[in-house]
Amino acid sequence: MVGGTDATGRRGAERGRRVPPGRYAAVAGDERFRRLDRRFRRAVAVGAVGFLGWYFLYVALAAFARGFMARPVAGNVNVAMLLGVLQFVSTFALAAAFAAYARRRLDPLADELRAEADGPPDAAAPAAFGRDVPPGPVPPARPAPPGRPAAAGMPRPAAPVAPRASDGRWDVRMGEAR
Amino acid sequence: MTELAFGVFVVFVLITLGITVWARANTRGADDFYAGGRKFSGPQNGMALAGDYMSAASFLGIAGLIALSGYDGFLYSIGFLVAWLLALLLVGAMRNAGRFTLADVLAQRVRRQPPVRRAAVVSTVTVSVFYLLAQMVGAGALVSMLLGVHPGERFLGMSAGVAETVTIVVVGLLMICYVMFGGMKGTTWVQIVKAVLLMGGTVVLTVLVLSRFGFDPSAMLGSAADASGRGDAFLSPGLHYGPDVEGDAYRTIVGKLDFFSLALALVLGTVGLPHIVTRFFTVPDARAARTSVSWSIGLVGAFYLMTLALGFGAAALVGREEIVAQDPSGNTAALQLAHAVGAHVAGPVGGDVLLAFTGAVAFATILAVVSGLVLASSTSLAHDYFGQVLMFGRPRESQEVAVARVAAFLVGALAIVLAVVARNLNVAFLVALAFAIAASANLPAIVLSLFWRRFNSTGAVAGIYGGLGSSLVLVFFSPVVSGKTDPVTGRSLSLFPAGVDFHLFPLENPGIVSVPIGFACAVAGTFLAREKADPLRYDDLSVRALTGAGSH
Repeated sequence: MVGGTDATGRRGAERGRRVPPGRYAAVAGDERFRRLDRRFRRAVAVGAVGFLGWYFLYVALAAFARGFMARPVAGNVNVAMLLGVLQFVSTFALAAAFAAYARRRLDPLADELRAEADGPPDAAAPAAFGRDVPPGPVPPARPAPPGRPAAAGMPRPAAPVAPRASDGRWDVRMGEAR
Repeated sequence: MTELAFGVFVVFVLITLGITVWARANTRGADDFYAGGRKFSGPQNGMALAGDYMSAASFLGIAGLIALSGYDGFLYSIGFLVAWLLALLLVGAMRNAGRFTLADVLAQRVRRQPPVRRAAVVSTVTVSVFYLLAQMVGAGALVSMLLGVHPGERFLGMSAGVAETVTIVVVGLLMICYVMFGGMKGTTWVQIVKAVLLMGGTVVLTVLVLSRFGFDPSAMLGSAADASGRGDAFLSPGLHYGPDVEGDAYRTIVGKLDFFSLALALVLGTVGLPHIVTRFFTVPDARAARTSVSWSIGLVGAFYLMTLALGFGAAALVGREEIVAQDPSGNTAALQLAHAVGAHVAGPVGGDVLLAFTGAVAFATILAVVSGLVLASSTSLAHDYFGQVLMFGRPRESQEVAVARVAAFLVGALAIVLAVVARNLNVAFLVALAFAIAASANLPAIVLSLFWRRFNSTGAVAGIYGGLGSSLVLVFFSPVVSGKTDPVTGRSLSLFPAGVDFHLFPLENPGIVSVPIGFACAVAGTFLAREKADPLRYDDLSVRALTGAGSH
């Protein structure tokens, strides 16, 4: 099992201490994070299905419904031209809609959770190069909110584990590579 | 006239070299070199993204396609724009999860990083080199086109053939210089300047074209349709993509499938293009990354709407015969249009000035795009391969940046040599191939990494190599490599000369097959490996991606 903080025996090993995965397990189990995760997945799924569907509908019309596409609308503008410009309009509209959704429904939750997970940003220590994980203060061992549903299947540490002065990739290389 | 274009271009080069010197003085470490210190604002990065994305293929290629094939050129451009919506949906999570490269996004949650990083490097470098090759050969062709507008003209005493080679080498040396010395800071500003020039030039041309038709787009369309000799068919889909072949249902359906395949690669490929992905990390946080993609959508959209005026304007004001006489694929249409509208406004001198300016903008376009590509591949080679694989993730920072500079030189030199060798070949298909590889190899790995708890290293590696390999194999056996000839002249339209024909796969674009293969390999690799899923690391990744906790 990966974990522990034993030195790797190389120079600079203190930078390369192994970190146990699960640093954010407590956050991941938080009800608010799950809400954020659900909202994000739903937004991506709805957005992707919506715009891909509408775009491929348009492509299909261009390939198979050429009589319809050639129908005049006004002057020399035909249905094809109108639908093409509508693709632009819908792209701008969908982009604006997702940006607004993210600002209203995703960002506030994300900010709150990040602040709790990482502590205030100004307390961050200077980063050492080569680390995958930037340094920060050890997060306060926030007790899990009461009534938090236990993560099924996988035992999880209750709070962020271990000082984060470590490098996520070390465990990998030293632990399990090959 | 070409001296004038040369002069305008020299001014651009001097400005960008000045930027490079400034950037070199302000580049201290890896964060600066790879990610511009993550200090760019959303709008700045948005302009750079647009500058990175809108290649000469968009500017000259799409305008030319509209000028010759009418509506189908417009249809093609829409795929390039709509693709950005997928980027907008994923950019926040990718920005938070990653550090400098695509591999950083993928490798974090897997148990065995080195194979995943190696695979990502292979696909990044392949995509970049193909795309580079198409752009640099295009730069060579552009100089012949500029010369060709006034037949028999010599460029600074060189014949067109020599000028082509010299252009490729000069473009290559400039891009190496921007990237080696300027890093991400230099490259970003070059791309911002280019985006401003390109948008400015396009706005001027669009206004001049529309003014010829009393600012009535319908009148412009009508006049373009009349001049095209195709009548109303010019304003409807079907002249270029998926044409209805009388009495040959097989070829008709293959043509239509081919267009679907192209559309799929364009829409899904953009978010997997390495030079676009590295750009996500140049802003401080996910919010700024989203802002930058929104800006890019605005700019790219406005640009493609204006290419409508450029393309239909060229059809109406320059005319099909004159365009085809210059270049059978229409790439000179925008340049000829600039000459025509300039001459209309201010006489022959006006025409030459506008042509010179447009030509210089086209060169600036190419330079900015190739620099982005070289930077992306050198970042990946130095950070992912050298730093994380060879040096076990603990290189000295100065060492890794030095390797990145050397890698930029090597990739650039390789691209110059390949482009000089390939300068007379049909390599335009390489742009579509780069999108297809990005969609089939990189996208499955990105999406499954972010959203699938069960995904593992074997799955990521299998997905990347599966998508990459299938795209390459399918294209190798497709008509773009061998066996496609012009029905009238018998000239080869493939990479290989006429007479060589080993094509087995009927479509020119592999996406419709290779994207599903990429996803299937990723899923199959995940389940077939004896490697257990790693839910804890996945939790870490998803918290980081969604909230930005612990992000760089």
